[in-house]
Amino acid sequence: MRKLLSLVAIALVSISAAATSVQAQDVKVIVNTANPLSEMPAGEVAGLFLKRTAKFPGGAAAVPVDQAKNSTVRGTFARTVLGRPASAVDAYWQQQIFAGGELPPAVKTSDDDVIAFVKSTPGAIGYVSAGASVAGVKVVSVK
Amino acid sequence: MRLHRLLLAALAAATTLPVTAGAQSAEPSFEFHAALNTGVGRAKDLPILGIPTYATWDYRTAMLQFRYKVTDHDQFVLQLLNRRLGNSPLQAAIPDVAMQWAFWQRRGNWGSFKVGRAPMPRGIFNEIRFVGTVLPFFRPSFEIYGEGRETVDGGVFTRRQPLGNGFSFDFNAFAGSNEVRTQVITATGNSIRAFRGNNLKGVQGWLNIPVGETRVGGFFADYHIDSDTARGTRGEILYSLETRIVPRTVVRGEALRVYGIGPNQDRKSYSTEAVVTAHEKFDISGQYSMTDNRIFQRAPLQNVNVKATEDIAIGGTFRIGGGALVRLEHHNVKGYAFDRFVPLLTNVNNQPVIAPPSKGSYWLGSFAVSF
Repeated sequence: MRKLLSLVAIALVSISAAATSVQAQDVKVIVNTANPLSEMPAGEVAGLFLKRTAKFPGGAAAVPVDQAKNSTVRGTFARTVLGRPASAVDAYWQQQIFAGGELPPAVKTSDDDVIAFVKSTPGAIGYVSAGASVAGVKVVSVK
Repeated sequence: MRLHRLLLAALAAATTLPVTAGAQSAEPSFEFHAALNTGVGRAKDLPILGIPTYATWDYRTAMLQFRYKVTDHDQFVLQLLNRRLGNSPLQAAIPDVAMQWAFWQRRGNWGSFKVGRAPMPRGIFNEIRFVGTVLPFFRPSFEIYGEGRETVDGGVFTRRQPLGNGFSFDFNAFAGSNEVRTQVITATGNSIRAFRGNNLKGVQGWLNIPVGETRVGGFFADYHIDSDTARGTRGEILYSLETRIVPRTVVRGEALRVYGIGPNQDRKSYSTEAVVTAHEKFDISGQYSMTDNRIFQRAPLQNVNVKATEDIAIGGTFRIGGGALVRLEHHNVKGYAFDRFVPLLTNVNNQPVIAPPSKGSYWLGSFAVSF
């Protein structure tokens, strides 16, 4: 019995380690060029994407835009900026939807689509892969 | 009557209140969502919560939600609910398909207001009690959430107030009426009571603390019952705590007191649970719940407190992707609230005394998906 418990404990520790050893990849958080912000704390960015707040620190209304559900960049953004795994973010939105609360941000299926939306929408905030070309939008430094 | 006037005034105020400065929306006007939580259960020794001693597959909740965004600040929401509870006597009091929600909502800088039939903000799980993908077990603690009290037929006001340094306070107030269904255990047998709580009014507050996504909640509501089997008032107080202060772990605790007259009632329930995310795809959950029920007796007999139910549960959840998961749980149950009559009283020296609690257990395997 003790041997079995030890095996279970080792297995759990191993899968936990495997889950956390995924290499963190940078993402760029972008806003419209009309937006005066150049840096934001991660907590405030998370507040906008989880719709806990609807406005930028300056008071302007925010329109967050997300990436496709199974994309790598969405997983990285969830872990590094929202501070939780993508599955926990999905669970958060299921909770909001079925509690009659907020709906998740609209989804764009590629970096280019996110950039095009942010470029054309004054209050927009999105994120793209670190290697994406961000001409025409402004990159916000996330602290 | 005064309550109705207040509601009308709140509704009128909500329709004239200013809304948030407009932002171009990227969201569609019409949204459709669905959730399914379906299980197979088998009890040992005694049937409980609709699960017989042979396996039942007739165990399910399914929801269809439709939202129509009228403007950036107004939406109309309908949610249909299908519930099957196996062999539970409660099934007779539950329609196969119910209009669970039908509300209009206005949002603005001042908060939000729902009118119609809306989810009741009550404790950690009430608004999502049927959504298998966000629950640690098939259902939240039966001792705390029971049956009914899911919705408010009336109005619900909600506001989040930032308090600075990452703290915030969520305030909810509601008024109207609600549904209550209970399986009543007496010395002679079990019966089902379904009635409406009228002149319902209540509040739910949450203090959000920026450490470990901790929140501490308090709920209070009271309502009048005016049915053939019960006539009187009921009050409810519920305290809740939820924290993720321990890495990869969610700890929750809730304490409920239901009290009232017509007939006299004083029930205290407690539930505590921990969910450990061992892997992004796998959770292990444990839960302890119990209800302490005061039995009121005529003088010269004294009132007695009985531990009516006790449930120790353990479960595992595996997320298979695409918003779906499978779950297996086992419950050890002790007490008097089974689907088959178990004795509440026994005779010792020709004196009626409380019988020892009966024991049972059940397995429940389930599949849940939502989008």
